[in-house]
Amino acid sequence: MRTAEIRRRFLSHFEANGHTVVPSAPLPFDDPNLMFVVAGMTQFVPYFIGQQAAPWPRATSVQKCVRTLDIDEVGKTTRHGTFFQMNGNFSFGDYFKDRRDPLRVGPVDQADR
Amino acid sequence: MYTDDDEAFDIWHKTIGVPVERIVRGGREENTWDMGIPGPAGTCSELFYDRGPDYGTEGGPAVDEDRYMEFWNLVFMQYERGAATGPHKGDYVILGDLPNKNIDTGMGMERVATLLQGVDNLYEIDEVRPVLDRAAELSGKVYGAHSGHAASQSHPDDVRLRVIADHVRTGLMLIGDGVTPGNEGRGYVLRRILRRAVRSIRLLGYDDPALPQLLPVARDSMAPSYPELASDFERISTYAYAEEEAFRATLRAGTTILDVAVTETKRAGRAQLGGDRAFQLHDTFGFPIELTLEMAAEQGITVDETGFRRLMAEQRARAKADAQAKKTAHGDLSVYRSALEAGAVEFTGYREVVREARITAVIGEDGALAVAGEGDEVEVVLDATPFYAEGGGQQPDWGRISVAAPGREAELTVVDVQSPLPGLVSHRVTVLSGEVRPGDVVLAQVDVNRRAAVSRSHSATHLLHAGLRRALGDTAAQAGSLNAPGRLRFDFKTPSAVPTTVLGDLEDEINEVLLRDLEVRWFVTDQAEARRIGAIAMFGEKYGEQVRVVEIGDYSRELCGGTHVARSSVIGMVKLLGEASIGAGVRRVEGLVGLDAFRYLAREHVLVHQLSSEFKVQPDELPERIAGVLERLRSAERDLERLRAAAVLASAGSLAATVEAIDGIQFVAAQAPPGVGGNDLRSLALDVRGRLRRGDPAVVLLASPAEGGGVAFVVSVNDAGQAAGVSAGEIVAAFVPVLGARGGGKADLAQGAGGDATKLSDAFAAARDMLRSR
Repeated sequence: MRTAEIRRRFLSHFEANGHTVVPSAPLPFDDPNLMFVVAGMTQFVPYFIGQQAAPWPRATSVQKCVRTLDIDEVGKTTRHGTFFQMNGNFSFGDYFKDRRDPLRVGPVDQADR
Repeated sequence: MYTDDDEAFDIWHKTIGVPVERIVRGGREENTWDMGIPGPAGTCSELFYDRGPDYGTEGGPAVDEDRYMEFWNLVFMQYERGAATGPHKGDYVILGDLPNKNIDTGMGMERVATLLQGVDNLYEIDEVRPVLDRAAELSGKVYGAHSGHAASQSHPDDVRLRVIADHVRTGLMLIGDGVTPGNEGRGYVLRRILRRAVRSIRLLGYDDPALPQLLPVARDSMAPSYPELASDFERISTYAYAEEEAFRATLRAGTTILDVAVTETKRAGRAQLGGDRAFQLHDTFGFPIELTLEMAAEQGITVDETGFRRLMAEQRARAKADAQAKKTAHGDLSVYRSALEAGAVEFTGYREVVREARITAVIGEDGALAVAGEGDEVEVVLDATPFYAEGGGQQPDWGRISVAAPGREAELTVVDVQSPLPGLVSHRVTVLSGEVRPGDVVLAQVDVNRRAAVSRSHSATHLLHAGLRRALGDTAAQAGSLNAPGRLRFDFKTPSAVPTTVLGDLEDEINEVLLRDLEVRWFVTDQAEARRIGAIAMFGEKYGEQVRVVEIGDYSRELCGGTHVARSSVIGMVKLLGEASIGAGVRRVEGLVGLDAFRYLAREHVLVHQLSSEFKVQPDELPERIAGVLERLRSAERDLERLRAAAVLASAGSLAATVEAIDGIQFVAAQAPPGVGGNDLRSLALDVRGRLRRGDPAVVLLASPAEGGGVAFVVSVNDAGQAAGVSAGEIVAAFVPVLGARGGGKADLAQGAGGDATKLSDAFAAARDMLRSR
């Protein structure tokens, strides 16, 4: 399955389950501690810490990330890349542990087939 | 899952049915997640996929994370973490609960793609692999030929191919999102990534520019998800290719220096390259420290990184002090601070060029003065001043300050005006006559001719800036400027050279704007309003809440604290002299303004006139005529060179005829035509040698007196001679002491230069003796 197809299926699965599809934030990140976005949740931090009210109870995104801390590991392991994409689903005070699982089983289950 | 999160355990085991043996409980290090900085945090459950025994040892993620690949992390985001309290990942305190219980999950796209596409690692998925393949093709490597499945069995070539594929993609994505290569922050990260990619493919044996071959492949692989990469590719690739070119130039200069330094270090029996050498490489050749570290490591030595960092810090401190000392007489600012205690100095120069003011401080080399007399060079602070202090690229005003105290007169000439502290204006003056004291009431008079000329340049710079943005887009942002009487300089950001036609059109447009006689207005407003009306602000510049906007008709609107003309026609004329690169992604345009522009054109006119009468053609025909003359000249030089070479070789026959026999060796020792050196002399010697009997030992020693004194010489020994034990190097060794020259070489060929031409026959005799005494 091509990566672009994984992306499409991931987003449409969560969209069908009440998540708003939010575009990726640009890679440069304005924060004294971070130069680049390093995780899917980075752009949502203000909603998690209650600094701003989340515009949607649920969101999903494919976030562009750059992390260069492990740059020397690149190529030597199977899983370190300086650029990567994070598929995420997010609940801002909406569902928690128990209600997450039915949503999760979907894409992993599909992926297995 | 987190160690005591029984709720999660129940869901995993009871609700979903995951067998108990497949659930691992981890502590704070493994099963909490945060951003590595204060902020939201939570315990988490991580999903792993077991890829089977081909990929590593059994035993779960704790044993082998390549075999057990984590692909999804589910974070129960409910705490706020504080600052780090120790070196480990879990060393921080929980400050409290977040307002809500949240869910944050992260599924690594590349890892899922790795699993679903059945490939070994993320460098082999559809978005990355094509770049890897292209790099392999370019370097003639076969990917995977020497590696096993597991990551730990990877051949270094394969590691490099993966680095290339990863880094080229990252470079593409970063530039795509607006990052440009630079020496600090994000720009430096990007620079390092691009340079590592280029270096990796060079290490694989591919020396040509690589990014033009690789970046388009990365674009095609990523465009299905990010179509903007394709539409924006021209801009992206311009930055990337320029960076590779810059790096190639750096490498050419620096690699040699590093090799020498490494050799010296090894010869001295040390295993560590000095921090001073690493610093020199960085400072003089722009060689990044990371590269020095890597390249030294490849040669088996380390680098004194601490020493390097210390020198870097010292240099930064020095540069800072220098900049301060240059602008103000006092590196120590305390004297200015006390001058400022009297209150901020009001700048009145937007409205007036003459003003009555009071001196609040006189400052000499050693601090505040009570009086300064004739001939003294001091600094003077006024309570208010019409003098413009150098700033925003605008040169300072010059002028006069006259003291008219009761019974006392003094004249000061102002040679520089600076603002060493915000709110303070300091006039550097020479006391022409009389005495000056704090408290004196003075008349401050700006040199209006200079002010007008500087203002013309400054307004012209605004037009140039606005015009460049119209022509090249808003990325052509100002990076620096100089507004001096009669001339201007404007630095701006752009990835590539500005075509000559664009510059010509721009010049035309600016001069048309001058003729439109636009009104120049200025007003003070708040930042938000300035942004709303689209005033150009310098990127990265800090402005106060209240900003001054200068607009020239409807053509230019810019935040600016400088002085300007009242109407555009006053500028008179603008002549752009050309543009050039002054650093990666920064170009500089220089221009002349007003009468200086006119005089420049008038001079050119005279010059063209002279040339056209010299060449006896119309000005329009000059380029063609000059090109023709140059071509004929080059062709004549080539003919001359051919004739000279032929003459030299023609002498070969007569030189060969001087052959003598010494102990069965054919020996030619002769003076070649004067002024033959280097390659020519070597070819001549080989030619002479070729005229001797090949089967018998032959030695040819030719010497040619050089034009500037000294002798160039060469010794050539044929194969039979070498077999008989004759060495060109040994002959030279016997020859040079007599001549007083230097030289050396190997058995077949030796050469040298210098010495005294009058001793040539003695030197030839010494060579003969040497051959005889063998």
